[in-house]
Amino acid sequence: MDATQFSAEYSELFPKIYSYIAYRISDRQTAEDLTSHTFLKALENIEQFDASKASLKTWLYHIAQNTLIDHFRSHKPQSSIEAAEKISAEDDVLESILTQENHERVKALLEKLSAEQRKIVLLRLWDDLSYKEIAELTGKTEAALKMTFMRALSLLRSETITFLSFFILFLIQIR
Amino acid sequence: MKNTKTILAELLLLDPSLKMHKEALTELIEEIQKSRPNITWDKQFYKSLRAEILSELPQTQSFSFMKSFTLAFAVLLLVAIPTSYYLFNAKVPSDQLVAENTAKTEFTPIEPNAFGTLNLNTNAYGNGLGGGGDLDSNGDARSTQYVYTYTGDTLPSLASTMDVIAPAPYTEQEFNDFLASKNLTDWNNSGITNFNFNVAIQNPNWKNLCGSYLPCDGEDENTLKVFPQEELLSDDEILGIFNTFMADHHLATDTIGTFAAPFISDHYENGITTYSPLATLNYDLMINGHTIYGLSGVPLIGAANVDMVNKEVMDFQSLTPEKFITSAYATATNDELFSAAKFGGLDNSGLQTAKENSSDTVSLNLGTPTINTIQMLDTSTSDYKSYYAPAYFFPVLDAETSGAPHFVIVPLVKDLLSQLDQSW
Repeated sequence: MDATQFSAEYSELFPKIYSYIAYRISDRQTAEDLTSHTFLKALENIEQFDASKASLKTWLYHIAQNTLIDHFRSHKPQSSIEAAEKISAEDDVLESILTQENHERVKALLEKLSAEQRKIVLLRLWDDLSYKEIAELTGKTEAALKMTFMRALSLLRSETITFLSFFILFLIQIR
Repeated sequence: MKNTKTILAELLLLDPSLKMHKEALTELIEEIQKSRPNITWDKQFYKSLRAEILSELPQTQSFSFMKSFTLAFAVLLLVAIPTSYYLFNAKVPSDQLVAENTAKTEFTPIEPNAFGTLNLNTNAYGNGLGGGGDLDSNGDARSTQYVYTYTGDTLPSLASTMDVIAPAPYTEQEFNDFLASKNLTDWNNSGITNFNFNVAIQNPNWKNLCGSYLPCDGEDENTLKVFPQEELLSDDEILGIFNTFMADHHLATDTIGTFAAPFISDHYENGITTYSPLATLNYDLMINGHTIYGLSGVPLIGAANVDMVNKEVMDFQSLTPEKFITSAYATATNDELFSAAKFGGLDNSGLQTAKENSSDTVSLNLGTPTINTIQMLDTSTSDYKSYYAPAYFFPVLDAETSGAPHFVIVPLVKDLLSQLDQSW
């Protein structure tokens, strides 16, 4: 992989990386800034890219992920190092969903998941990444990721039932 | 929704009991997918970032280009160009060279045209060859064709033939003997049996960091140790470890060029950016002191990772042969080379567009060229073969203001030149 090949991949990868960032950052200007940072950092370090370890796509996602984390860390006041360590790119996803109409229920459900579960669910369902790509991005095995995803969805399904039960009870009570 | 069936099938495969909740899961998956924010991007931003990336490419190349050549080279070029000048020129000076050579690279001449018809195979390298420029939105054909006029010094005629280099064929036994002579037999855990040009080998101790600092077998990242920032080694210490490795294993350092600064990786762990215990260092790949360029004009880079915990080289990604063979090939005339340079040399991806619409041309000037070595890969077989041939690198004098590539590359070997579309 050299820098010229990298530029040729740009048109395919730009929409994916921009979307990945924009899903998690509701501000358009910031999303553009972080997308620029991701691509230019990748270009700067293109010699570090090892196609035998990961695809260019997941390498870029990795840089985008770290860029997001750095952004959240530097833009959120933290009261302690421990709090700073807990920052995840997926935390702000919930804020992003809040800006969407009619998705309060999804937000409420995703809040039931751990940050790690939420991250994997969204990489799979929003970013359309395969388990192999998520494995390259997170350093986890595909088997572990599938299990985490399955448990997360099972949890969400049971939460959906609980939610509906409360809703039905509420309806009964107000009658 | 896209992928819903696939996602559901994967879930049912893991836990068939979920089949009874199939409908609920389908609704859940689709609801989460629908909650995805609607994203559109500004086309102007898309274009400006692409332009910024492309503008960065020539700067990098130009730096290496300038670094590698001195005024003395230009003077020599005017006096005479010996057949193998580009092969046997003095080594590039650097303040960060590796330890003194402990082995010598051998070049053995064989019969002319011994490698058969050489193939530029430019498709294997992507488009936009020659160092940037304004590729179209698909990243391929250039919408503007640059037309170059040579304004440099009068060049002496080239020798009628020049050498093309290839790694000498190593039998499996010879390769194993080579590894044994370097005390690297147990580093070849990938079972490689020959050189194409450089091969990656790995320290048998590579598992030392597994489970403690690195997740090698799917360990839970939360149980891993975080490498403390205060234990990062200095650049000098990292280079020292690498130099010791090179000396201890009697490696031919004349194929290894200058080091880039070690790269400290960002490692995602526990939600924060931390430090990896592996430091990566880079270096230009060279043959006999000369940087090797890809067909895109970017120098080929090697890499090694240093384990900063155990203070040893963890992998070496550029084990290079010490024996090469050289074969003479007919060179083109300067007039032929200038003709090819007129339309961008290797970077003539917009020529077809320009033929169809002559208004899409921009006139630019070229300065006096220097000679570099370019690598060609024969990808027709599973074990890629590499060849190294001389090429003119013409500086584009108006590159800064025009956004054009910073130089035009034209291979000197007639065989290669004939593969470029130069018709108008």
